[in-house]
Amino acid sequence: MNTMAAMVPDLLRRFASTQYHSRFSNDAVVTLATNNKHLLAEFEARSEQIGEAFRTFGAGWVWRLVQDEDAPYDSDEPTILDAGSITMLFLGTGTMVAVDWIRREVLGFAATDVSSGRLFQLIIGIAKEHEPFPSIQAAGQSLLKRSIV
Amino acid sequence: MKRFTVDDTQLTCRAVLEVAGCTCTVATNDSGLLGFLEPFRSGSPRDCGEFEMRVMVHDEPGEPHWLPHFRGLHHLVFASFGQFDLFVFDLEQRRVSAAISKRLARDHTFWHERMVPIIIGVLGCTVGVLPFHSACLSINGDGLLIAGPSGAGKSTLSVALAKLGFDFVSDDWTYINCVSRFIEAHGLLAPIKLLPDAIKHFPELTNRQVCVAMNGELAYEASPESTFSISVARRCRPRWLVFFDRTAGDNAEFVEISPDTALAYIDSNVERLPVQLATAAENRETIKEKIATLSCWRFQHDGPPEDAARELYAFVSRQLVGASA
Repeated sequence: MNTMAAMVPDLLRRFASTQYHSRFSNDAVVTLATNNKHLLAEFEARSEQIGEAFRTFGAGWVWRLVQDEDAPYDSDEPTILDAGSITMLFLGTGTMVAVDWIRREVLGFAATDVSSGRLFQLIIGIAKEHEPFPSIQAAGQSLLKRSIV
Repeated sequence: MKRFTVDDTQLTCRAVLEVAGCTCTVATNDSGLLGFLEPFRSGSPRDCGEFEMRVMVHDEPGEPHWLPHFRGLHHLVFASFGQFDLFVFDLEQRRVSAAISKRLARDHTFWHERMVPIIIGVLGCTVGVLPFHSACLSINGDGLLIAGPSGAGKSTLSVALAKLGFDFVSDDWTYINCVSRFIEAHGLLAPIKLLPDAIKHFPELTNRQVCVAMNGELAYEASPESTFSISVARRCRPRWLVFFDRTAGDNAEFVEISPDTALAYIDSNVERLPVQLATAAENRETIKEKIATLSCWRFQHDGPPEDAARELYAFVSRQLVGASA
């Protein structure tokens, strides 16, 4: 019998390496981790824009963005899913980025064909179009605490 | 750019379901979807984990040929079944939110064979459920877990055992939670998946077509009840864990396995969790330890599944007699 826990495949790529780090001391204070040094450089260069877009939602953001070589690039048309405290950006099937407004996290995977600049614009766009507190917290309330019709 | 909003005020169709022993509160704007989930309707609230599912059905067209794509980071898991069929799982809030097309909302097979198992597979760790790669059968409420690698013949052996009188619970994934001091094993009413060579053993598969399963394998997918006329149980209390080893010699052999060895196997087959889900991972340890302290055996047999089933049936009967003596 195999006793190696490391053999369990990481199907969701939760443990994808994000070896490049930076901390932007802008208005939102963002820590970014990624596996793409070009993306890191691009985002660092435009950190002021990040601060402007995200400061409304508080400081101390954690961003983790993985360039995903296995992600398909089958559409350039973005789709947004607003799910209360989480907003998801989908670009085709393979590029998926979540913004958790309560935990202040930006987490996602991008297909290699999606440029850093394009990804940057899309994430900033999400923040600019999102409504600030307190409605976010209200949207994050649990159905479990409500009566069932 | 398309934008879908999962808005609670529009999700007026609501129900409480029981999925793998957990209570799931579902809210949607599509009453037809609730109809598909009717078999999971909960008769009474259970003292167990809770999660919620919000599904907004929209008017955009669904695309039937897109392959599903899953990724996860920290407490989130994202899934796309097409450009307009989107899911996000929040493991911290124990919540699934989705915006999907009418095509997907009304796909009975999708919900029963794919989405419900996926939801409990992803959220299980946060609601006290361990998805365990094993078949499960029950005899008078006593559960037999049959573990083994994919292709070992768990499903074929399960059908053969059920034909001998066991109740069928699951053939591939079993969902295990703690109830008081005990563990309970649950199936999800999913069809049995049998590899193409199963037709040699089960004439009931004649005239049925193999199809591509979600893992890409070619397989027969058959209802335990309508195809094989076997009895199905939703849950049981596991008593034995048997590792099915079909690569050994000709004779059937049962070798007892220590809890440590069993635990090592379970560890090697359970999904790793990120540090953000440390509490869930810790809670899961209790279930793993309880499984490892079942009566654990390696069952070596390389003959036809009917013979393996008879050997296993006799083994379980001896165990039951021994316990009652």
